[in-house]
Amino acid sequence: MSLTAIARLKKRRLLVRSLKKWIPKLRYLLFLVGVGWLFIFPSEKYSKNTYISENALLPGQVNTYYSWSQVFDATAYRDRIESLSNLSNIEKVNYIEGELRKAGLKTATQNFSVISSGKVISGINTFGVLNSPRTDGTEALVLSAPWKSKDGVTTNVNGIAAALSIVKFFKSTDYTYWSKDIIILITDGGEAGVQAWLESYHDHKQSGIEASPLLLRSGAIQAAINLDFPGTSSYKALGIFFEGLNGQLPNLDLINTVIRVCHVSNSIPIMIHDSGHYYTHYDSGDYRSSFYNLIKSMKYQALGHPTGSHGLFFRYKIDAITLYGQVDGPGNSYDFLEIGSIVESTFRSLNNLLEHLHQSFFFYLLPSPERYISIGSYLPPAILLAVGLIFHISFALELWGTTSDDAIELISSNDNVQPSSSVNAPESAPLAYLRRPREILMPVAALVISHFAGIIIFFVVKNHFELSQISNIFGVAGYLFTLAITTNISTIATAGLISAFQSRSHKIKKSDHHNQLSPSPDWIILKSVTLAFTAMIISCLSLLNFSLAVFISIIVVIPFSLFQPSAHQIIRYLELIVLVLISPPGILIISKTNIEEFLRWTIMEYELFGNYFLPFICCLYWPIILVYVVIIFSPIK
Amino acid sequence: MFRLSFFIIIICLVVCQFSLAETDNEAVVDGFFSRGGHTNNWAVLVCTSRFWFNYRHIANTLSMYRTVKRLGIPDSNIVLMLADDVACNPRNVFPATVFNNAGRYLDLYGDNVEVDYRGYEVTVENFIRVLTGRVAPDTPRSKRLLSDDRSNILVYMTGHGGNEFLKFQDAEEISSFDLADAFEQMWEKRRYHEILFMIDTCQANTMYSQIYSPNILSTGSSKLGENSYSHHMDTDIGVAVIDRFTYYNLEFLEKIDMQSKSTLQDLFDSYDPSLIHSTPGVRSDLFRRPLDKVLVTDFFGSVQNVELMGQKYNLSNSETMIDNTTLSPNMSNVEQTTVKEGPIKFEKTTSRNFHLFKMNSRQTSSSLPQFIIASILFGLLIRWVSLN
Repeated sequence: MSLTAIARLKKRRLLVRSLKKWIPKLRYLLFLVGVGWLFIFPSEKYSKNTYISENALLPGQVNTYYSWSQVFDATAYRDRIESLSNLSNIEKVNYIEGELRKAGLKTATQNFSVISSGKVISGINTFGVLNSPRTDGTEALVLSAPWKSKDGVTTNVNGIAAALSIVKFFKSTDYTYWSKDIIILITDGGEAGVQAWLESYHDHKQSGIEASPLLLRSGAIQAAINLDFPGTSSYKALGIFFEGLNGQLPNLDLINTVIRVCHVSNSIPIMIHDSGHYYTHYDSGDYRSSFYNLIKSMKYQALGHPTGSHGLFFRYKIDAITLYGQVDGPGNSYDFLEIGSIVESTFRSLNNLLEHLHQSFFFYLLPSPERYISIGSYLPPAILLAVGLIFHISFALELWGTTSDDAIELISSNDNVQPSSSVNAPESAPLAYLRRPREILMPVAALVISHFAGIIIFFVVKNHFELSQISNIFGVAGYLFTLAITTNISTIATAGLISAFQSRSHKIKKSDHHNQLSPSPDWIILKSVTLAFTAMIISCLSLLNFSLAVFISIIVVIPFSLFQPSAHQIIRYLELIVLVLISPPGILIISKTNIEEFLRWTIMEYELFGNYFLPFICCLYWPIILVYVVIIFSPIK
Repeated sequence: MFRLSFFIIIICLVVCQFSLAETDNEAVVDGFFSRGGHTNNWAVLVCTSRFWFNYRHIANTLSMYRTVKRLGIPDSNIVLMLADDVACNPRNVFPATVFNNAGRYLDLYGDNVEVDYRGYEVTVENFIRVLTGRVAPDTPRSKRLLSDDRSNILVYMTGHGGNEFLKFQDAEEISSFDLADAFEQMWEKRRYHEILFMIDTCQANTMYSQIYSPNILSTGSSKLGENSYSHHMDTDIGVAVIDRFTYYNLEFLEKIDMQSKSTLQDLFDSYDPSLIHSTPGVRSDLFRRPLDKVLVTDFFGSVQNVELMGQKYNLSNSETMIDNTTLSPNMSNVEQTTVKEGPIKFEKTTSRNFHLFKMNSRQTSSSLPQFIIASILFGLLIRWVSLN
């Protein structure tokens, strides 16, 4: 080996040594910075004021003509709908359809039914189309109102009454300024009704919903406003629900438009969800309320749970938002007049659109209604957490040292015997090179097998409600039965893997080669591969669903960095307990969730809407935990 | 008898003329600079925006169109480039109208709007082709700028722009260099006498910074780094209806008729940055006339110089006859003088042309004594004839 090569290796050794010294500290620093960064988010200094990015919208710049005569209409509708709410579906639908016909709209209905999560969901959607008089009807806007409010119990009386009066007003007005058709949609059966209607409208059958075809159509839907004003009272504040399926969000311009309209025309206090924190114009709120809003929003996003009927429109590239009437709050109460003018003004703005909403952000967090954190500002913490894991592989596990060709050690030994070797060995002789074999096949196989176990778990959970028929024979609760099966699968998979590793380590010990270092322990390679995989999942997920990525990484980063096989059995079992606690069943039990209900809605959302929360947890998150159980029970050497 | 009296009048006039020339040198110099020297007026009005929310740009352009038409430029001499997607836009609360004021006093789209380049025809290429005259042979006359070296051209542009560029309908943009080169080509091809380039856009003053051809006067709404803002909006139509710079230009121009003696200096002095919310600019270094001698109607209007001849041309090619009785004698006298004095006095005599509509203050004042003398002589003549 030439002198320059030796010098280069020496330099490299120096670098690696210093990195080795600093990286272990750095990765904890990265974790602390990453988590600390998240706590800066609610600060007013971190977020920016929202602004209207799409020039065409021009929110709140028009006079609204929804006035008292429309309020009288709405009041009449309200009284009638309230009296109808105990009657059958058919009677309700006939009433709505009749009123829409009287207003001069084309109407149609749609029956649908589906069996999901052990229940039959069925209903009749009613909808009407107001054809814009001066265009070709290639575009449409949707004004929707579900029969039931978001709690699933209260009838959305005022919401439907307002929607009917607004559409009647739009049709009867002297002005013919609509550039898009307007579809009024009264959905039944919760969010399944919306899904059924959207699938039929776009002729895109995706879930198992059996629905009659739509006999009435309009153009491509540009945006949708969903009204949720439960009960018959007046309201004090307006809640904005915007999170959709799988954490998708509507374009920020839509939210900004509604908020701007509310502030400009009526100065109604705005809430994010039904948080109870009210905001007036230019109010950015305090740290606590912002923190609360962010946590709530991130929770909805992480679960992939649509927070209202609007959440299902996103798949079809339709931006949508739910306006929710909050009964209690400060200040003056508002009623149909304000609801009507807000919707009228918002629709005038949307009417101005020339193309889909696309100018503003699709990835953002809202600490308060008029403050936003864009993707560029919120992504770094998640990436830092993932990077910490990668650093851990490279340096803390001494991938360059223990698991691979140990050139560094070699040089240092070479240095000491320099005079003798230069005399004895001929110049051209290659340097004796000790190799440390890396057995990568087995660890990768372990990773694959545990993910395969994850897929089986997923199918078991998915068929929970079919399985619960069997469990009824044994007389145990359905969810316990599923839990037992899944735990069994996971235990069998891990136990099998652990025993495989242990028997392998015995074999390797026997067949020790000369001229080679002992092979690096399997657990180091397995841990490296797993950490790399976890880091990949987190960084990919942070783009798709930031909130889920953040929650996952906060849970796993510290345990995954620290845990490794220990000589003490007690420590191994302590580690096992932690891993069980952060596994999905553990989290469910700690958080005291109603497991039966939780399973019901995750499975329903997976089956009906395609929520990827359940497959993600079963097929990706749980298997990694299983692999870690294998790691901590692997032989050290 | 009649001839004698006529001869006397001519002699008197010539004497009078010479005596006036002595005292009126300054007026002559002024007259030299203030004369437009143009024989026809053209306007190229360009709105480079489309879409509903750019309503105001179309209203700007149609307002200028109305103004130049009102001041006498006929449709045949106006090249109007307009996206024209506003009046009949379904979003328009008042179909088939365009207003430039929330009061909705005046429908700019009311009657007789002739859009030459419409919709997607408004491109940089078409604009430059119109200016330079390099149009396809089958281009109709209404789509050509048929100007010559005696043409004064108003080029008005509005839209969305930036530092040294102006966007054309979201698809392309024209740079200040393109514009300067197009003007130079026009100059080389003798396609203009003088140009007034007016632009209302963000950072508009940068658009004329590269122009290097002579006889071009430029004005813009805002300097580098400044935006141009809309003036006000109509809350029923739901959009801004006019830009500030154009609004204040129109406020001045609306008070002008074809007889107006207002000069461009008056127009530029009327610009108030605090009202326009930006700093309007004027570039006159390429322009050879002093601005306070240039009538607004030299560019924004077309005031026909009617030249009344004392001679009657016999169309049947026979001998030219002089018929004094059909014309008012003072005019015929003036023309006679022209004939007699020949080419040396040409400059001076043309300044004495009777401007039927155009009232140049300097010219009027210099010819006033001649009128008085001529009138007196005319009175004497009548009296003398009647006495006989």
